[in-house]
Order: sequence, then C-alpha cells, then structure tokens
Amino acid sequence: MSINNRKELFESLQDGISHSVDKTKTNDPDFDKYYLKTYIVESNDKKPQEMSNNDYDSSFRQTDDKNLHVLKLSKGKKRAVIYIDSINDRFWKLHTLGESLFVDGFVKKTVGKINSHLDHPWLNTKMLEKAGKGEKIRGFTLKHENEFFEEDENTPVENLSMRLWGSSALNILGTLKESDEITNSLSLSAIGVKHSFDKKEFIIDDISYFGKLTGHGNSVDSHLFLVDKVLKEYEEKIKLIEENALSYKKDKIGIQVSGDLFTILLDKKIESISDFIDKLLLAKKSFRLVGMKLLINKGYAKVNAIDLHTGHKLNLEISADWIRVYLEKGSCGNVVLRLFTNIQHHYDSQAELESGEFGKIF
Amino acid sequence: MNKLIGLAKNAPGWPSVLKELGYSVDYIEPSFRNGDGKKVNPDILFSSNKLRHCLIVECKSHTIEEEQLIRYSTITKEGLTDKTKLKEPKMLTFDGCLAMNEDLNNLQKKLINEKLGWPLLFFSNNSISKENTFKNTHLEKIFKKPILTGNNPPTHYFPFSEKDDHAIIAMSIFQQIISTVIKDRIVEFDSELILSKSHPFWDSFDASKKGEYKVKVDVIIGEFQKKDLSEYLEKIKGHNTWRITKPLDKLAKECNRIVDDLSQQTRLPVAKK
Repeated sequence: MSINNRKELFESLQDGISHSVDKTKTNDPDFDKYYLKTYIVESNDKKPQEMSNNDYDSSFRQTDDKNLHVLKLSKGKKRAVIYIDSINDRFWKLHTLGESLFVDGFVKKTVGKINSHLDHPWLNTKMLEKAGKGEKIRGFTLKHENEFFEEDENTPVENLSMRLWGSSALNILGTLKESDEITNSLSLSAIGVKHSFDKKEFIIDDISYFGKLTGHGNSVDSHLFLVDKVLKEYEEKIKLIEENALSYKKDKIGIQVSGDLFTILLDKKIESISDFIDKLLLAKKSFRLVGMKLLINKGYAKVNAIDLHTGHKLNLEISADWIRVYLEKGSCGNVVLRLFTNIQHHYDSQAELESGEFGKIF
Repeated sequence: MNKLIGLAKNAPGWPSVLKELGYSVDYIEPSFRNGDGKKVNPDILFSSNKLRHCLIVECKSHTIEEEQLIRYSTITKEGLTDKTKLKEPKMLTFDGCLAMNEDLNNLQKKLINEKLGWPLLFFSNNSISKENTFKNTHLEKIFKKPILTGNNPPTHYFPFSEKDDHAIIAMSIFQQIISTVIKDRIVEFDSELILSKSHPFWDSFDASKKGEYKVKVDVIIGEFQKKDLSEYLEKIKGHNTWRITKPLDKLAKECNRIVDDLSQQTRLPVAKK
C-alpha cells in the first residue's frame, strides 16, 4: 500500500500491529514485523530528505502531507520502510514496522556521523521513570557498561545487564539501589509500560533511553500517545537548558552575561581525572566529543571540547566530585543531556544534573 | 575575572558569597562617567536588588596607575543609576574594590589608600583575603575573614587573556579551529577570524589589545604548523592564513597532545613575545 497521508499511515500501522496480539503469529520467525517501532530523532536545521547513509540504498518520497515522508531502505536482502513525521521540525518521529536490528543500524549510523546535525534524545533514568508514571509498568531493563576504567578485582560491577518483568519491577529497582556494590551501576536503559484508552485497546511499549519506542498491542493511538508524552517532557528540558545557556551581549554600556553553567554531580568519585577525560574525548560511541584537556592541578582539569553532532563548542571543568558544563548560546542543548545520560550509563547511575540558575534538573 | 564572576554564580567547588547576597553580574567592562564627567571602565559591575547595592570591581595585575585611581575616586551614585539593572536604581548605594592575584608592595598600597581608599581583595591559590573596609555592612561581614576557596576556580566565563600561558590560549584556539571547520565548513582561516569566534569579548577590545592577541595566536599557530601540526595544517603562501588538510579527529588528538605537553612545560617550542 502506498502511503500518501497521515490517515493512510495510521491505518497501515494499525493493520500491522494488530497481528502482534494474535498468538498464532508468535511462532512466526519474523514476529518483529508486527511490532511498531518509533524512533525520535533530533534535527538541527536538517531536512528529512537528508536522512541518508551511503551504506544503504534508499529512495525518498514526500507524501501529499508536506510533513510526512516515506524512506525506503535496502541493504543486501534487508528491506524496510520508514515513515518520517517532521511536523515538529526539531524532533522527528520515524515510524516503521521494519526489522529492529536493520533499522536500528541505519538510524544509529546516520545519526552518529560527524556533523550529522542529527541526534537521539537521551533519556536518563528519571525521564524514563517519569514516562512510566500514570501507566501500568510492565518491566524495565538495566544496562551499565563501564567505558571509563579498566576493571580490576576491586571493581564492584564491571558490566550489568538485567531485565525484569512485572508490575513490581520498579520496587525491586528501589531495593537494588540500597546495595552499595551496585548502586552506581543501576541506570535504566528501557522501561516497559502498558497504555490503554479502554479495556480493549492497548499498547505495550518498551521505551529505550535513546528515544526508541517499540510497541505491540492493538492501538496505534496509545503508542503515539506515549511517543508524544516522552517527547513533550524531553522538549521541555531541552528548552530549559538552552534558555539557560551562557550568552554575552554587547550594548552601549558594556557586555552583559546571562545564563549559567550546569553541573553534573557525581556520587562515584573520579579517581584519575586525566584518564577519565581521555576516555570522554575519544569521539567514539555515545559522547561524540573531541577536545583538549588541561590539568590545572592533580584533582582538577579544564576541557575545551567540540560536539561532533553540530561542531559547537562545549567547555567543561572536571573534579573528582562534579563536572561543570558551559553551554554557549546557540549550541544544541542535547549535548548536555547526552553527556549526562551517558555518564549515568557508563560511569555513575546516581549522577545528578543541576543548573546554576534554577537548581536541580534531574 | 573568572574567579570574581564565579562568586556571583552557583559553581560547585567555588564559594558563591556574592550570589548569596543577591548579587549578579550587570556588566563586564561597563563604561560610564564619573562625577567629573570623565569616562571610567572598571572590569565588572555587580548589583544586588536584595541590598539595593552595586559593587564595582577593577581587576589589577601588576601596575596601578595613579590617574586611573583618581578617576575612580569621583565615581558617583548618579553615574551608575542608568547603568545598573537594579529595580530601584535611585535608591542605590555602591562600593568599589580592587581585585588581584598577588599582594601589592607597600608603596602601591599607600598610593591606593591615599587616592581611592577602596577595599583590596587578594585571590591566592586557596583563599580570598581583604584589606580596607566595605561601606556595605553585608559585604564587609562576608569578606572580613579570609574565605577559603579551594583551588578549583571557574575558568570559562572569560576564556583567556593575551597574558595567559600558551597552553590556555592554545586549547581555546585549537578548539575554535576544529569547531569552525565542522560547523561553518571553513577550512581556511587567520588568527583574527579564530579570535573573533573564540573570544566573546573580542568586539569590546581596542585595536591595541586585539593586536596583542593576534601576535600571540599567530605565533602559536605558526610554530605548531611548522612542527607538530605540519601534517594537518598548511600555511597559505604570503599570508598569515592556514588551511586544514587532514581529518579532524586526528587533528583533535594531536592538539590535545600539544596542550598536554605545553601544560607540563616539557618543552617550550613557542617563543614568548
């Protein structure tokens, strides 16, 4: 079916996921195709037709709706259709019934290119918990991958991956947090929630920390409700951060300075500031930063970094207990949440984010 | 300047004594007239609505000019009323102070006390101490005893000065070069372009100060282009202009190594001017 507008898209997706509640289909090896996946992608002045990657064959078509686009992808025998909803020009929604691994690979590679002007939303533990508020909790996933230091016999937790199902899952998370050995390794990487508008229509969505929602059930409406719920909260925080970015304005009297720094408060002390920064500036994986460090003293360093997502500058000061973050006006606030969320995932899940101007953010 | 601005901000690991009294930075390098109608240009103007008070600060390094002290001595409330962001500027009172990293010799102190009498704030590695007295009792109380600061001052509000160590200037300049190439897709640049983008106060510097900055940055880029960055940067013949020739991630790694070496003083490849 050729999709030309939102109504047709809705019907097509509804038809697709309705099979996900049919138990006879669960033996289908391609059961994933009945799951509706939505990726939220942040765009900085990028056009949907620029969402391409040389590793994939693709064709792009705009529908009768100027904010709805169809991207057909193929690579070898793999194929997928992605519907890009760009009605919010800063945060797009990419819907697909395509195979998760295949589309995940495309989205991550395309977003992760240097100067792509695209990014994932970075949902920290508090944001995922908030997404679950008012919904029936079905479970959660914890994932901690230490990217900062070599493990030794004294490292309490090297890597941690855990999936818990059931309505009491979050209570168990509370109990786990009481354990000193693992308290800094308990970052949520996904939360499973059920949303329904009535008894018959529902969706069970897995909301991941990089802004992917994977739903099965029979209600596209419920799925889209959850997508918008996550997005609304994220947009509000980005707005707050960008409004508080540091700016300098010259007038006839002098130079006005507005905005302030942000602080990531660490519960787990950094033992070697120099090694920590070297890992942070590797440009690889999620942090997407390169830059220069200067050790001011043994326990304190300044960092002049560049966000590879847009090329904007990001300045940091790092001690054992905190990271000061200076975001310049005009820079993308996503870099602050990317840094914070990935610190939670790869170093200290108990880290908190504050603004000098208005206090605790997370 | 960073240390002072930090006092009016919420930076962990650095005291926020001015913020706690309600002060915020109204202006950096404000310009206004004193009681004699002469122009004065202190470094920072703070104000606190809570105290209906302004604090004028001049940061000094080594030299104290008598003529400048005389001009500051005739600053009046009237000169400040339309320059501050106080909600009720007509009710304001004000103090001025001189801030410095090192103690002054007795001769300089005597000169300041005779001509101006403002309090002096000394920022050492881990504390702030004061001489003379603030008129505002809240300020006086806060600074009466030395304030322990620790050694983690904020450094990014005013990113670098022309007098800073090469390492500090180099890291800002290399950062700006990489950012400019990625963000603005500009691969050819000169020191003026990089400075105008990297220093938020560039437009307010006079021609002489701009010249000092440019000389220092030309030397840093020029020296490293000939050595460590020769694979990554190319000098355009006959101009003080350079062009990026290699992938940025490799350039960033090399820049990081240079800053590291400069900060450790393991070598001094850049001649000081």
